[in-house]
Amino acid sequence: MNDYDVSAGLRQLADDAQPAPIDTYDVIKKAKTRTRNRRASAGAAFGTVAVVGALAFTLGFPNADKGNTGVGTPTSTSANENCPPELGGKCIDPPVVNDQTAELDSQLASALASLTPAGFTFEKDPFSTGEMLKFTGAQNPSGTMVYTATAWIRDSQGPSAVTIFVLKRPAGTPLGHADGQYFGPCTAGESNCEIRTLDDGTQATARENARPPAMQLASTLTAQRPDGTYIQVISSVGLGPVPSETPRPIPAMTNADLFKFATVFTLEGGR
Amino acid sequence: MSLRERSDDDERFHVFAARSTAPLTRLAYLLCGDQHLANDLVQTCLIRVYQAWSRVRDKDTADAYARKVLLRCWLNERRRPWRRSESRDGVVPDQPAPDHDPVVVAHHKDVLRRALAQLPPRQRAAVVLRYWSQHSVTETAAILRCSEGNVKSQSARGLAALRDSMARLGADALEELNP
Repeated sequence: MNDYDVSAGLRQLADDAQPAPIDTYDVIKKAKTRTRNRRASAGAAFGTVAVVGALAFTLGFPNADKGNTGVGTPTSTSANENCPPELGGKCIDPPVVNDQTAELDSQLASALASLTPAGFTFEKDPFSTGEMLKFTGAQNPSGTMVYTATAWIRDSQGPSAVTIFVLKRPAGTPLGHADGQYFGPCTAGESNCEIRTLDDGTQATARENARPPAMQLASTLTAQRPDGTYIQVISSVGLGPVPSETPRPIPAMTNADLFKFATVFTLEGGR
Repeated sequence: MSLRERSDDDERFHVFAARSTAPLTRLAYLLCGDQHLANDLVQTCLIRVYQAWSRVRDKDTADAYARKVLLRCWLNERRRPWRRSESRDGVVPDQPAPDHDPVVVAHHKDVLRRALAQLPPRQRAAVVLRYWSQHSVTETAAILRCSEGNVKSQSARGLAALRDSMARLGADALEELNP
């Protein structure tokens, strides 16, 4: 295979890409919103620093002789946690825990017994910094707040991973691929794909034991509720970057297990 | 900036976005190997390009800048926690080949897609930028923010790995077809 063959092969492969129409007015709107938010955050941060500085100055640095101003320590600790050395000095946004995460935690806890397949138990994902099946929020690349909860699920065949994503789209949005999510719903004709419209109007697809591009064997649910709540569950045999034990050969959840998640969550409010 | 200037800028951006969406999507698809993600990356890229649009003056600069932004978006995306279950294990994506494709072409694409997915991100980026986008070593170095020597070594390693993978995957696939 020479250089020409590589170029020709890549050209053929690139022709498979199907560009989605881009709404440039929407792009401009989102860009302006992000710029405005960033400026507001910077302004707020500057204001906080100014207020803290003024306060410290006014109080005369009461703990200065102990090497501790009393107000700077928590901020500093938090910053270090969000800028781990392995990221080469780059910082990540801290996960969001708010009223929505509490509500989602509560909804999941109430339904957990019925969501757990027989013979399985959930346990903490050792590669996750969060607690087992507790939601935290983060903005995805499209600026949407996505709430995520993870866990391992284990039976006698070994562990596998489960990740739940919940986000909010406008009420009445039809089931489709949500910006920033890795998977879209499966489509009729794909292996193991099952499509349902549930009694409350929730549209959902589940696809067990499939292998989407560049992913390990996974079973996935994508559900769109009439109020706009979008739910995605990925039950995967991928255990993380350096698995400490052999994962289950196939994902824990079947289509029937996954469909139970489709009506568990209702995300209130805008985001 | 006056309202008139802003309006002209926006008009230029609309034209740029309409023209660039298809080539950017192809580049994104070669980098990430997933159609949905490629479309998302292009949208994120265009949002970031617009944020710097008032400073981007000519067409050539805009194209190069957009490719650079797209690449950064993809590398950043690769670091996100929910991507960690990804495994570039080279298994055939279970999407049917288009009907009009001859079997051989479809098979060749599958093998290449699988081989490309096995390359580490920066090697893949170097191979795609050099052999698909046809960027020079200097241009690729500027986009990847590394030295020209690094681009040469990444491209060479990537190409060698691609050849190995294709030979291996091709032989495996032939064995499956003719046991």
